[in-house]
Order: sequence, then C-alpha cells, then structure tokens
Amino acid sequence: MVSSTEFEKRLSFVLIVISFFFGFLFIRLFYLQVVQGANMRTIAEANRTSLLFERAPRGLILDRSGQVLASNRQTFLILFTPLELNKDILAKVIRRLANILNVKEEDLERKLAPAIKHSSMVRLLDRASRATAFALEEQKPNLPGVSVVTEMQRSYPNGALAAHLLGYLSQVNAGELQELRQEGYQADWLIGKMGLEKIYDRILRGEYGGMRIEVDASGRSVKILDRKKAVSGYQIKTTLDLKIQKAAEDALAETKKPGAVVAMDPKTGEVLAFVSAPSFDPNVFLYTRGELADQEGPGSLVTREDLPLFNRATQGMFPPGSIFKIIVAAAAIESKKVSPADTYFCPGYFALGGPGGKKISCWKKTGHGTVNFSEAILNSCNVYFCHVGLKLGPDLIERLSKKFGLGAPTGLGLAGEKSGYIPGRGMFKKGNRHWYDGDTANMSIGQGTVLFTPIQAALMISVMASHGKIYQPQIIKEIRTPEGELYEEFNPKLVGEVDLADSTWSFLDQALARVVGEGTAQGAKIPGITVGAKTGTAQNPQGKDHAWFVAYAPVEDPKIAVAVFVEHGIKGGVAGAPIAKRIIEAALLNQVESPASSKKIFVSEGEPIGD
Amino acid sequence: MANDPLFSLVYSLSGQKELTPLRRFLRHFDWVLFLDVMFLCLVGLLMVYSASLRFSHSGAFIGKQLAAFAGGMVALFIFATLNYQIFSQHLKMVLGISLSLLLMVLLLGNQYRGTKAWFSIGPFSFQPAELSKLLAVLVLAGWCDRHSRELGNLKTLLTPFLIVLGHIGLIMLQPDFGSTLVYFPILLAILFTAGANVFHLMIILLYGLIAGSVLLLHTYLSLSPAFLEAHPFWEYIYSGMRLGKEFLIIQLIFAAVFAFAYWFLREMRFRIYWIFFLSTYDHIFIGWFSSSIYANSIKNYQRKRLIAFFNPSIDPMGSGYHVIQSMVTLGSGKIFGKGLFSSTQGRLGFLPEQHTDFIFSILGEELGFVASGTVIILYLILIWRAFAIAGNARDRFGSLIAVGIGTMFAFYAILNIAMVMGMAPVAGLPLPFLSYGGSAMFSSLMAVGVLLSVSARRYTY
Repeated sequence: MVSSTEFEKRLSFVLIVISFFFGFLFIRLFYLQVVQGANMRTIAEANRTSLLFERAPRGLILDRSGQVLASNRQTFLILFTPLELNKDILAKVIRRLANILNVKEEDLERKLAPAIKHSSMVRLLDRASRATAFALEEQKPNLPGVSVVTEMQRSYPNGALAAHLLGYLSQVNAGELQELRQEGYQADWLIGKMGLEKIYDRILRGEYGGMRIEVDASGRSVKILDRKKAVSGYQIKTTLDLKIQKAAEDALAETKKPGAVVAMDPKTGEVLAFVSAPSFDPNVFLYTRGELADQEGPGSLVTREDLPLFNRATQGMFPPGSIFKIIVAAAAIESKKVSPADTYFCPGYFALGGPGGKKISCWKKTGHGTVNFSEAILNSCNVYFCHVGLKLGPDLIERLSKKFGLGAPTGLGLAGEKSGYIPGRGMFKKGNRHWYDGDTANMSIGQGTVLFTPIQAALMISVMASHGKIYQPQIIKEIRTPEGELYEEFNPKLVGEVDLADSTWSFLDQALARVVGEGTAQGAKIPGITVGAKTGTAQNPQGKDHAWFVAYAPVEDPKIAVAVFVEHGIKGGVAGAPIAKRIIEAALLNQVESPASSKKIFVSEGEPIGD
Repeated sequence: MANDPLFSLVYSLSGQKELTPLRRFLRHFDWVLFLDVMFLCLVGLLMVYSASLRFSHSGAFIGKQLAAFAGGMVALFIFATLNYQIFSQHLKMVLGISLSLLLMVLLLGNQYRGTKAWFSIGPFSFQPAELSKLLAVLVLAGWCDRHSRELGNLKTLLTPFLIVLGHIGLIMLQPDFGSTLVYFPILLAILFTAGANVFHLMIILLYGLIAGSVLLLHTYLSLSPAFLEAHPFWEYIYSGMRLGKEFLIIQLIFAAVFAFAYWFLREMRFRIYWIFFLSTYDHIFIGWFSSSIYANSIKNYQRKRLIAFFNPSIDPMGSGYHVIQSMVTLGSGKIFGKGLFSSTQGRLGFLPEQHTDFIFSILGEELGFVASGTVIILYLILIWRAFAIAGNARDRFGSLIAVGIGTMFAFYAILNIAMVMGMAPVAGLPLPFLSYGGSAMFSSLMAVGVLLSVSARRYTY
C-alpha cells in the first residue's frame, strides 16, 4: 500500500494530466470559435444558402435615331424541382421529359442526377422554344417538378445586320470564368464574345436577380431568404444609321462577295454604317436548334471557309491600290514638287530607271498619253504617279500617310483591330536590303507593302472630306440607364489635324469630283449631288484583284464619307461605285427610300417622290 | 447560513449539538459538485430540446430526457444517502450484477443499428453498458483497496485486468466499440493511484499503444490500396494483419511459447538479458493479437472514422463530413453564438447526431464561446471535485471510487469535446449530462450520487 503522501502525489498527477487535456480543449475551442469564428460562420452561411439566379434583360442597342438593333424577347426557361418522387414516377417523368425535349434519356438523367441527389432546383433548359414550352405546359399534370417560366433573352431583330459591330453572346467558358469570377460571373451565364456585346458586357448585362434559398443538409429548399429583382442593363445608342446600314448591307450583299463597308460622318467621326460580309446571325447562338429559319448552328460559323466571324472592316488588311493616290497627290501638291499643270506621258507602262528598266504597267495597257495631274487622278494613271512618287521620295508620302492616321489602329474600340502598314525607308534598317526606287514607285500607286484596313480607308477619305480634321471614329453616341438617365455621352473627338494649304484641299476636291464626273468612278454619279471619289484595285497574287472605292459627298459640305472594299471585286469603279452610290443616296436623299419598296404603301400612286 | 458548507463544517466539529442524520448529511453535502452537475444538466436539457426541434416529434426527446433526469436524480439521492462502504462488502455481487446485465442484454436485448445493447421497457430503453461502467469502477476500487499491498507485483494486476477484459469482451460482443474505451483509463487511473508499479503501468500503456497503432495502421492500409501496390513491404505487413484465425493462432502460440520461456527462466533464476528483448517481443505480439480482435470486430464505418480523423478532407462528404461540419458548426457560433434555438447548421441537418454525440457543437453554435467555454470549465470543476473528494475520503476504497468516477467523466468529456473539435476520432461517445440518452444520464447522476456519498462520509470515523 502506498503511503498517504505518495497517494496524494499520484492523485494530483492524474488531475494534472487531466487538466492538461482540458487546457488543450480550451485553447482549441478558443481557436475554433474566436480565431476562426468568422471563417466558420461564412462556411455555415454558404452551407445553408443556395442561389437560383434570374437573368436580367440585357440593355438595348439602338441606332442613332433610336431604332432597335438588339433587343430582348421573351423566352421560356424550364426549371426542374425534384420533389420527393419515388423512383418509378421519377423515371416516367424523365422519359416523358426526354421525349418532349428530344434528348436522350441517359443524357437527361445525367443532367438531373446532381439535382435529384441534393433535391435542389435546377435550370433544366434555357431558351426553350415556344413549342417545347407549350408541350410541357400541356403535359404539366404528368410532369411533377417541371415548371416553365419566362425570362427575357437577347435577340437581334435585324438578324445579321451589323453583326460584327454588335457581336454575339454565348456561354462563358472556363478560362473567362476564372478571370470574371471575382466580378460575380457564374458558370452558366451568357457573356458578350464580340463587338459591343463584349466591350460593354458589364453595363449591358444589368444586374442578375434571383433568390437566396435556405437549404437543408440534403439540399432541400426550406425557405426563401430574400429575393432580388433583376435590373435591366444600360441602353446603348450607337452612331449607326439603320437606313444607311441597311443600304450598305443590301448593296454589298448583291455582289455576293466578301467585303466591307464603313461609312462615317466626316464632321464628327461617327460611324454611320459598318458592314463586314459575309455576316452571321448572332441569334443562332441564342435560339434553340430548329427555331430559326435557316439554321446551321453556331458550329458552322467557325468552320466555314469564307470566315463569317472575321471582321473584315477592322481586321482585314489589303493594299489600298489607287485610293492611296489621294495621299500621294496631297503630298505632291503641298510640297510644290509637282504642280497641277505638270504633264507626263503615259505609254501604258513606267520604265524604272529610264528606258529599258523594269516596267510597271499602267492599268490601261494602251496608255493615257500626255496627262496633267488632275487627269492623272481621274484616270488613275499609274505612270503619272510613279513619276510623282520618284520626284517626291518615299519620306514625304510616309510622313503624310502617318499624319492621316494611317498605319495605326483607328481606335474604334473593337477588339483585334489591325493597324495596316505604311512602308518607308525605316523598314529596311535592320535588314540587308535597301529601299529602291521600285519601292517608291510601288508605294506611290498604293501597291506592294502598303496595307489598309477598310476602316482606315474610311478614316482617310473622311479626313480628306473634312479638309484635315481627324475625328476619332466612334460607334457609341450615348449610354443611358434603364430609367433613361444619361450615363455617358460620347462627343466628337478631334484627335489630330492634317495641316495642308487650302489650295491643296480644293485641288483634291476638284480632282476627286472629276473622278466621279468624268473619270473612273462614274458609277457613283448622283444627280444634284457632287460626289468626290477615288477607285482602287488591290493586286492580289492569289486570285482576282480586290476592289476599293472611297467617296464623300457632297463635296462642298461633306456629310458622309464611305469606304467600300469588295474582295475579288476586280475594279473599284465597277464593284464599289454602285455600293457607295446607294449608301450616299440613303444618307443624303432623305425622303427617298430606295426605289419602289415602301412607296406603294405610304404614298398614293402617281405622286412619285424624288427621282 | 445554515446551508453553508463551511459554516456547517465548523459547526459540526465543535460538537455543540447532536445533529439528526439528515441535517448532518446536508451539512456535509458537496454543494459545489451538486450545483455544478445541476447546471450541466440544465444546459444539457436546453440543448437536447434545441437539437430536437428539427424533428417532428421533438417533444418525445425532451420528455424522455427529463424522465431520465428525474430518475437519475432519485438514484443520485439514494446513492448519496447510501453508505458506499456496503459495496466493498459485496464486491462479488456487484461484479456479478454488472456482468450478468451485459450477458442478459446479449441474450434478451434489442437490436438497433446492428448493435444489441438495449433493454426495452415500454417507451424507455436502457443500456446496461452505461451502468456497468459505474459498477466496474466500484469493483475495481474495492479489489484494489483490498489488495493494495500486493499491487507492486505484476501478477496481482492480472485480476483487475481480467475484470475489465470481461466487461470489454461482453460489450465487444454487442458490438459497441466506443463504450469499451473508457475502461482503460479507469483501470489505469485506479491502479496508478492505488499504488501499482509505474513501470508495470508503462508496460500496459505500451501494450495499449501497440494495439492501438496496429489497429490504426491496418485501417489506414486497408484504405490506401494504391500505397500498398507501390510498396510490397507494407503489402506484406498488411496481409499479415489482415489474416484471420490462422494468423491469430500462430501469434497466440508464439506468445505462449515466449511467455512460458520467460516464466521458466525466471523460475530457474536465470538472469539472461536477452530475455528482456524476448519479453518485449512477446509484448508486441500480445498487443498485436488484441488489436486483431478489435480489428475484426469494429465496423467498417468506424475504421473509416478513425482515418477520417487523421485526415478529414480525404472524404469530405463521407466519414470526414461529420468532423468538418462539427467544426464549422461550433466555430460559426463565434463568441456570443447565434442565439438560443437559432442554430442553422443543426436545424438544417448539416450536423449529424446533434442531439447525442455532437451536442457540444450545437451549444457552441447557439450560445457561442461564452457558453461552451463555461461548460468546459464546469467539467473541470466536476473533475476537480471528484479528485478533491478522493483526497479527502475517509478510506482508500472511497478514494479509489472517486478517482474512477472522476476519470470516467474526464475521459468522456475530453474525448467527446475533442472529437467535436476534430481532435479525436469520432468514437461515438456521449457527453455526460449534455448528450441525449437516458441510460447515460441516469448512470452519470448515479455516479455523482456515489461521489456525494463518499464526500458526505469523509468525517464519519
């Protein structure tokens, strides 16, 4: 038997050991509840709430006069709530549902599995077709747990119109989601993937609404904690003019060739029409298969050889051909190295380095004979411009081109805009090649390494029209909140000025007007309106040449500047001029709709308006 | 004033007046212990009510618990007034009752969740294992008190071991893994305070360590097939542990041979040092052997819980789920809690077994660190009182009873709260006075009654 003191010692030892454990418990408790308390509270909150979101109607996109370019339509959203159904009934429901939705039963089962497991509500199908929704409503008594609700969803009433500018929506992908998650984006949200929809996604999107639902451990909804109303997105008013845009789209579509048209207001830089053909219907990303008339599905847009998703107006780079002569002529006149009266003889070719040298042919094989500057412009004589170019040297041309804002993105704001290219002596600094006169000659007729995007061509002719004022090309006029309050207004932005003598500008005005009156661009002649224009042909070693056409009107007080580019259009005067003509008509002949169409309905017969 | 223990103490010592037995009893009553326990019971009843609110028949839970509390209070007063020394005279009978209760439940008990551990009497069910713990404490204390002179001898330790093993064996047959655990600390604490050789106890601890770690290793390996495939050595070890009867028999024979060799050489008074290595070897085998018994009888989910304890994130929706959710529940209460009856984790069912094993989490969630910390302190006071009573008891028997009961409460409180906080495996142990469970409530209060009895008789010479 242990002594009393030994007993006491052992007793206190056991008590100390136990107290030691209790000390640990206390520290751990403190750590969990006080130190980690806030974290644990967050987890507990996340445990008990689940979100069911409701899309906000996206903000409208309008043209300059308020006509709708992108709106919303009512779509059907199918929700599935796995009530406490027994297996047999559930299987029946799934079978019926699969039948109506026209999907495989296994696929549907797989989709519903997590929802059934956690007894939580899921969005079974977004944007269900009307037929599907009605079929489901009809079958409602046989489909417990399935509910159909309506939701506003983006739609593009004009189909493919200005699609490259408006862009399209599609489901956020994993990569994008990683970046956007902090902003509250979620996996099955639709986001803008192109054009304005992409740039202004955040303000167009509005605020998603939804319900915060308290759920129990098995995910069953217990009660609705709170409900947030969806707030519609902001409204964007673009600078586009639906009438001009339509005219441009139609005219380009008639050529059945890929191409691009950009029309601008030279006094503000506002883009009035913006076309890239072939276009695509952004609705295909949003409608259910089979709901649209000519349904190909978004997949084919990517695989098609004519690249409908490719925005030719800002991303296509082509040699400008003769439209570049405007710059060369301006540089020549301004520098006074060539006077308007100077003449050169065009035998149909230009021999580099004197007779017997390498020949650069004029487009007219028989030659233009002796021409002065103005005649050279109106006939687009290559030989004359080779002489001018050599006299000027490449530096002056390069400098003036860059003053015009060429060789750099115009800053329109669309993603992926290309900068084009203006060559110069500098380009060979590092290489072992030198700048030869041949390069100068090529440059002065806009071939070789000179590259324009159609929007740059439009900017160039716009600057020409405004006699040197470079306005930032703009697509947005204003942004308004859903309540109609002005959120942001975009005023014309003068970003630069090409300072040339008035005489130079008026020489060019006259010369370009003559191009339409008696030169290569007679196809753009409009009675009563002086149009200034220049044709161009971009040599294309891979096939038929591309056609360029730049124009502005009226010359005296320009209201519109247009650049037309037609792939494989061969001659600007043939392929481009009629398109530009229709655009200018649409812009300037206010009362006149293009012939025939609406006249019959609104105007009594025998009372024709306009020509 | 008259109820003040200090006052009554002085008053009784002065011997001015002969006191009636009742008055004397009240004067010597351990009010701190009693009020401490009452406070714990109050918290427990509140929490059981709160945790059962999510059930449709929540009244039944609190009703049963109240009934058990009432019954327990009766038992508390009976045992407090009863002189504990009578147990010492009827040790064999107490042991007999204890073992036969466990035996009877195996024969006549009700099966629930695969465990045959309950007697059903009308709407109530009774779990004899809960009562057996207390009875075992009495028996162990009595035996150790009687044989305290011989406790220095390793052979003497065999009898208390057999008593405990008898209980454990019967409970393992139910099978109820969790309930057997408490016997080890009780046995160790009683033996230690009764005066057993520390070295011997170390050997027993080592044995327990081996048995426990082999069990854990086996479970761990059974859950990591990829690891086994990559390491043939562990695969070999694992198959050794997994083998059934044949392997057990081989182990047993080895153990017997070594035990015999050890005994023989000792008897022949050989002093050979390698015999110590041999006995260590023997020891490992015995540990291994008993772990195999455990390994074969614990259920699969219990093994997984063991591993989930070491790494809850291995299986966050499965076995680790309980631990993680319990910690979240407890932690989310922060300092002042979400308010009484406003648990979300509990109400929405994220926390399993919330009215029984995980009740402490609900307490922490609803009333915060302020209350849960207080409860821990209340337990510490309870145990401190038990050990104080052990120190002041009039005889060694009373001391050892108090030590056993104190250790029992300490073990339950520590393991349960540690489990709730993710520091111990989910062993399915209730928290005394707080967890829902009539038998545990009843026998705990009865144990407090015994403690009070020991306490009240400290001055009766």
